[in-house]
Amino acid sequence: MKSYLALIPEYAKAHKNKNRLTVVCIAISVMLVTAIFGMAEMSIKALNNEYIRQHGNFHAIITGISDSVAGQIDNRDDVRVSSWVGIAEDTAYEGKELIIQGSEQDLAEQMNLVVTAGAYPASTQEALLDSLAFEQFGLSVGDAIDIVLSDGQTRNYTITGMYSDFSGLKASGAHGLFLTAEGIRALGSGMYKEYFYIQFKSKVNINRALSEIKGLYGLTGEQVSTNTTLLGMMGQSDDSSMLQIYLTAGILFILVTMAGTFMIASSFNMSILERTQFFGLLRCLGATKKQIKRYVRLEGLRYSLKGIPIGLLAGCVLMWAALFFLNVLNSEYLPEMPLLQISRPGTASGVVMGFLVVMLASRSPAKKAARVSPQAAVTGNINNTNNGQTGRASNTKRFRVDTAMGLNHAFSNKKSLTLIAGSFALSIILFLSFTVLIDFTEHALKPLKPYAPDISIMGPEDSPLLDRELMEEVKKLPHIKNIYGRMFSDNIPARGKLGDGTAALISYDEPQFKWAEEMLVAGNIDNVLKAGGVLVDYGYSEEFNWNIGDAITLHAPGGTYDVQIAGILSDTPFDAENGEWIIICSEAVFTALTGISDYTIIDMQVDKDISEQARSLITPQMRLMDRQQSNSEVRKAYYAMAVFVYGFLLVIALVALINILNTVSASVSNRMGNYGVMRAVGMSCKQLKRMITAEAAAYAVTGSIVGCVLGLLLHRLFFGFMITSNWGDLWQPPVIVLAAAVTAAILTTFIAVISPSRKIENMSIVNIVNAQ
Amino acid sequence: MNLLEVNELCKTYGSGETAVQALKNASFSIPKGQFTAVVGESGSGKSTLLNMIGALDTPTSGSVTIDGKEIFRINDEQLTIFRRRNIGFIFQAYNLIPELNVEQNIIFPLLLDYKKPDMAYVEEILTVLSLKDRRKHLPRQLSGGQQQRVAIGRALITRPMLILADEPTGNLDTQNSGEVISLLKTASKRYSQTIIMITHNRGIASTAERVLQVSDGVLTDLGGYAE
Repeated sequence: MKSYLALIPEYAKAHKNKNRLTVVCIAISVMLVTAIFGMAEMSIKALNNEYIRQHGNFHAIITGISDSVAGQIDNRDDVRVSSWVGIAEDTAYEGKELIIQGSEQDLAEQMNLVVTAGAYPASTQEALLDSLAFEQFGLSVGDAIDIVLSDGQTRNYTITGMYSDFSGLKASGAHGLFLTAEGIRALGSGMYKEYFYIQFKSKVNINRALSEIKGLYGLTGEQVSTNTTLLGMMGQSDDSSMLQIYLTAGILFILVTMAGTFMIASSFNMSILERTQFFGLLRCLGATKKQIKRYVRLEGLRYSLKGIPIGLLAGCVLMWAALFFLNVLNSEYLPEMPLLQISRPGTASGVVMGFLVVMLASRSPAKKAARVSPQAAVTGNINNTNNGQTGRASNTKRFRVDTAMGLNHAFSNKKSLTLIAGSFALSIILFLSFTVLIDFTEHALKPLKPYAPDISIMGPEDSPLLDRELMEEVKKLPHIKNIYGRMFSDNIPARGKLGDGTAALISYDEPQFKWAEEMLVAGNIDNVLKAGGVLVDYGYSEEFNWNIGDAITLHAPGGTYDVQIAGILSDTPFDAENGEWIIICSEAVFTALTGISDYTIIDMQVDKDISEQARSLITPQMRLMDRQQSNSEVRKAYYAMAVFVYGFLLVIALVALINILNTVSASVSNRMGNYGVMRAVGMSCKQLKRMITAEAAAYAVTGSIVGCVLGLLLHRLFFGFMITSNWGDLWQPPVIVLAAAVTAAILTTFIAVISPSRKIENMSIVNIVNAQ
Repeated sequence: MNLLEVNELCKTYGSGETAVQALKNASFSIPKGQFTAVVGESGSGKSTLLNMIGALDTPTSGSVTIDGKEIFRINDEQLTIFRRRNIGFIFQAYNLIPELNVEQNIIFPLLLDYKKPDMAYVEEILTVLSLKDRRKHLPRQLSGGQQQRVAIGRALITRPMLILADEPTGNLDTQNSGEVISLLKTASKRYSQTIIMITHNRGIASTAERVLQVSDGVLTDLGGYAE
């Protein structure tokens, strides 16, 4: 041994188990932070890539500027690529819709235009055509096509190449002709519109750069628009809904970091407290306070050097496993996640958090260890200093002595109480906060709604053609869980509180009203069923200031009627076309207003594939839509999301459990001397067990109360940000989640007591008393 | 009538070649109310003897009978209760419970029985031990002598038949040692209790009614104090 510090590895060798627990705690915390932040980064990256793939990589669009201003902007140091993008009026080629666009090659590439054959056009008479058009029209590179625009002139273009899907042409069923920027201008004035697209360099503050550009060239707010979604994902949006999501992410970031911090600090604190006598002995043998502090810090560093790499590796493996799992399950419904990448923010936050927390956590125990009086260490009564000074005597009047002392143990050491109860509370807070994500997924994925059909039958062009007999026949099919039909009548002129509009009237039957009841934000379904009232969507009620009891006048085919709003739904399964008001009524009211009694659509939920049997019942004019496959895939996506979120919750819960087990066990080891004396003067094992249970319960109950109160407040806040603002659902306390958290707290208390109780049962009173 | 009977008591630590015989066939009896001192060198087996009389440790062979009850024949739970009610312990290192105040420490064995203490008796003990004005103090706020007095109070509270004291003055100065022993003797007389006390202090041993000497695990009854 060259230095007294060489005692550290020697001590570590002799107390492998104790050290292992501290290293494991550091590793788990680092793993948690690395995996969560890594996952978050990878998800944002994946969404970012997907968004760029679908919509193009641009940050801002400016209109109404001259070529010279455009040139000056293009020459700015902070601009990576910029170019005019021209869009001509829509036209048709061989009866199919054709969209004509054009820009410089650099920007076109950024907009994800990939030339799959041939070359980018070089002159105004050359163009690219989308790959589907080549197939459909039997064209090949080098062919010429004639396009007629609304000015009656025919333009002839030579096709120089083929490009893959761009801006969702496939989805709209249209084709695209892509020209150069000059090619667009050659169409002649009035035949096109031009937009100046800008992509800034990375790490540029885009909002500041745009303000500068606006000020420099006197541009109005209307001339400059930003790509809100992309800027949002880059963390540069000042859009209010994005800011709410940032705030949610920020709070979750702080919570996860705190959970890790609490765990490391608590475990480290305990590992030092347990050995106060040992440090007293060192003091006794001549170690100065400074040397003790140095010893504790160096020991912390050793723990970090072991724990952090293990945590980082485990965090990366956990993240890769989670990403792999998500990719396998959701190939269609979630964007492809980058696999086997190392997340820099994840790794950095893991290292920084692990290292800083251990160093910070070692400060206070180092001081405490240094304060141990050498006399106390050798003469006994070390426990007085060991457990922190007891400020107040146990309350033996209100509680039995065993319970009172257990509570005293928990509440007398404020630091341990804060660390353990805090870690417990944080787990509950995280649990409650993360469950909002599940609600969010549930709202965002429509097929998961209770009314999502597996198979639908529709008439041609949405006409009410499905008579009641068909409904009865379908009902007879086996394996049907629910069957429900709707009648539709749209384009009904209507008048509401704030003016005129058109309405789409939709009838509901019994199962649909049952589901609607669950989504009722205000009002009463009975008034719809019995009193002829109608239901409206929350979005409309906000937009048109509709309230329960307000009347809407409908100029329906059967005459003009006033219908009263009897209920407001948080969400409806329908997307209104052209701003039509969606109004839901009973079948009787629908028939009275429109004279229609046949269904437009019959939906069914099945527990076995009966699409073939259903198909045999319909006429050739009718359509059968089979959504079983897509529903099951979306459900898979939802479950994957749930597994992902709950998986993390499980890790967090385990962290809290290990923490509590560790603390209660350390607290018992710490007080073993006292317990020996208590046993000697007549305390039974049962009473000692009750004492430890009271201590563990005190941590759990304090943590649960703090966790539930703060967790509910955060749950409410996040619910407001993510759900009420989007769908109007009002916040309700998550009773089941709360009950689960409280049950977990009770279970933890019982589990935490098992091992220390055994330790006490097996202890030798004589050895302990004599060791005093 | 004998309160305590020790018969052929043996204690061996370890086994085989490393076995150490801490106590070898110790037999004696002590009548009710006697103040007995146990003397001997460090490591001679005094504490082992005392721990087995107090049922803190189990013998390898032999028996201990207190007030007609053979203590190693009863189960652990009952033994704990027996110890709580019938034996008072006083240790060299005081061994008070740090989170209980003076009064609570004294009544602790009663609290373990979920019994309400007889407050007149508690007052009496506090007065005898001169701890009345310290009753709400925590152990860390007391001097060594005061802490040992609290430990004596704790040993007396259940009016036990037997008080076992393992070097109760080991951590005290001469003046405090004298006070503690005098208190112990006064109390035992007053409440007619049997005291067995380990001590290294010849002066204290000389005041005992009977002296037992332990040497290399062998017990010798010296009768009244013999220089």
